[in-house]
Amino acid sequence: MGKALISRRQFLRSSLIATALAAHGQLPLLAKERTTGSGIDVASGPYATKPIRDYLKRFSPTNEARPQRQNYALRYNIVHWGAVSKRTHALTNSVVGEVVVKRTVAGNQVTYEVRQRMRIGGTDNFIVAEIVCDPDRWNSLRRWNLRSYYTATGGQPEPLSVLSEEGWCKDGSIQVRGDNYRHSYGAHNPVLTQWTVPDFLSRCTSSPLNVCFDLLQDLSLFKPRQSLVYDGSTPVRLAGGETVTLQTYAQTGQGILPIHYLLDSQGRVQLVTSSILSWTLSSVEKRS
Amino acid sequence: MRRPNIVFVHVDQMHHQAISAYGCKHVRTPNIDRIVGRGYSFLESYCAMPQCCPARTSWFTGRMSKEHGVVVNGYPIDPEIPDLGRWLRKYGYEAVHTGKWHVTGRDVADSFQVLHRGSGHGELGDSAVARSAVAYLENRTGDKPFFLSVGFLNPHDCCFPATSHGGPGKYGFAPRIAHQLPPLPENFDYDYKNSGMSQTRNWSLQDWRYYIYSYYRLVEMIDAEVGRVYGALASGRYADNTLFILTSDHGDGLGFHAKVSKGYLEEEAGRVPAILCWPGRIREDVQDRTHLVSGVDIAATVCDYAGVPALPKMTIARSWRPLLQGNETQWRDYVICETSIGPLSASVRDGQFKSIIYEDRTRLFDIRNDPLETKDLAGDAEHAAVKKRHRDHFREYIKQIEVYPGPPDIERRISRQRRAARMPRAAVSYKRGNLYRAYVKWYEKIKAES
Repeated sequence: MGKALISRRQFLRSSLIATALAAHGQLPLLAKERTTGSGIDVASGPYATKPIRDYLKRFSPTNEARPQRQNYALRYNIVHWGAVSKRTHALTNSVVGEVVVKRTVAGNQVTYEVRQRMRIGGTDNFIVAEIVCDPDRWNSLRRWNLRSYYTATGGQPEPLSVLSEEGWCKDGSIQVRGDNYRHSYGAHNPVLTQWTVPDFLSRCTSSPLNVCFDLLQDLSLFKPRQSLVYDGSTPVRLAGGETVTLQTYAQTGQGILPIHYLLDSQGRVQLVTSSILSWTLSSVEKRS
Repeated sequence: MRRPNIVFVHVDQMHHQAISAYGCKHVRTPNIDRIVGRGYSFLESYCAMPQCCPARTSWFTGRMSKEHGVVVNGYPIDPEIPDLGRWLRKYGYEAVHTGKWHVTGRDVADSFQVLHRGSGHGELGDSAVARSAVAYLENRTGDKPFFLSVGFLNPHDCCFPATSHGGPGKYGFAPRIAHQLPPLPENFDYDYKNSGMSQTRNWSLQDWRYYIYSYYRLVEMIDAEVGRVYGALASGRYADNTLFILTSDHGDGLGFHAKVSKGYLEEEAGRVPAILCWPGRIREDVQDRTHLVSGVDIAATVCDYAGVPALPKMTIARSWRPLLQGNETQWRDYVICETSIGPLSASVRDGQFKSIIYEDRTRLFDIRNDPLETKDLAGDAEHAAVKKRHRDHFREYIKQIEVYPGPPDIERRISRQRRAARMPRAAVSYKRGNLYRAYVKWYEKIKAES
């Protein structure tokens, strides 16, 4: 029998080195086989709260009981992912606006009144909408009107910025109209807006939720085939150092980065995180 | 005849193939697809330089980056050079801008009526920008023709989710949607941990695929905003008399060659979508794979359609009008794209081949047969003539343009900078001064070649 080309000791040593290099992804041929794990999210905490992990240091969940009645208002801060400080490596989150969604049930319809303010490019940008929905499980869109504008110096609406639209959705046909233009879309699923999804979730949560809907973002931008599924529980470390566990639902689909909705034990959607923008619940108000 | 209105919509960092109408199966862009179907697409379209400020300044001035002075982001434009806003105003147009501008050294408000300044983040600002554009179309009064420039940020937000120390990207979520993640590009470089860009060396293959997935969603976001503006125009009162232009300042790596971002001269960064639409007035449903076009041509095309004199000293810019209208015309044989990021370099693209010329070497690709640029032919004797021809083209180009040497007081600025830095002369490397000098010196050297 011929002499071995390398000794057992050498073989074991080489194998150990190769394994260590591969573990760090430094052997290209082996790295090619590595398809899981993330080198980016190593120290970022749970992905569902990653965009607002700085803000969470200042966040306390709203404990106002969710009204048993069907009429209430949800108030969210709009939180912006800022930048990472090159000096301190600190992530910055800032509040750039607020959105209030009031829900009223009367007769055979559900009405949502929306008022959203966001600070963008040195101006305050407003969207004010009234949305009438079907009284079904989804509260799917029936008709709406929307007015948007930004403010000029002095806080008054800039006349050139005022935009009024109205629209309706019937049998899968969506129409959006301005004074001089119209958009038409064809929906194959229930149609929701981003302002009514949290309410849908708070009414319909059950752990194995797995549904599909079409999104009419801002009541103007049609983004079909949205999937909304239960995504497990997420531990969230709060301002006081305590950790709460929130049930998490993930929305993916055309024209959006993954959105996570985090609900507390009472079914309140406390956090909605996307990428650059997220929402954090600041109050729940009873309405008569 | 009434002078036409022109709506110029520009997006940021859009890969030239990230459009479903062009066959991409991983993205849905129904709105851009509609514009493609009703308009004329240039598929052999290159930016003047693959970075925001230089490319944008080229749109608005009709000059290459080494002419207008914005040679990389942050460098100021030559103050003497007029831009489309000022020029069109001078000739009776209402020049209006909303959203991203990013022509360093010139406040957009000095050249345009500004509707909205947008945001550095597309997810935050793009919808507001789109609304401002639509509101303008709804509310404007007066008889003047208008030039409306609409600057969207996305898909540029792809730069943020994976920044070191934690951008907002949810990379840990990738395993939950593994079945939705697109495959890596065919020319992905699996040796990226050794040879790739420094910011991606710690990425896993799953990270790459999630980056690409996220990028396509950002493209879909901007598709919806483009559709909001185009839809309002196409069904509104200006539809009959308005030329619509859509392009991007540069592309994005999108995993091709295991690259992200821009600044280099491979196709993924240098090539851009360029789509024009005016039903009944320009050819419809055309995907032009023959004519080589450049970002500088935007200014020439706008001036031509507006019926105003061409901007002064547009040395290489050409109006696309004859092509759009199907008229016979002699077109350029090659197109140049330059960069000042990393090693100074320029690409020369002709009908079949592309050279990337550096100070010390050249790479050569057969774009027609190897569009993913996988095989460098520069060392092949059989392609020596192509390499030489491209070098000749590059020299011809340099002789044609008016190379900007930097501001007249550049030496004084460098001295002032040195004093402010309180550093010994030998230790100071004043990047700005050095960059101007570097490309002037290189171009002089090439010009002197026989």
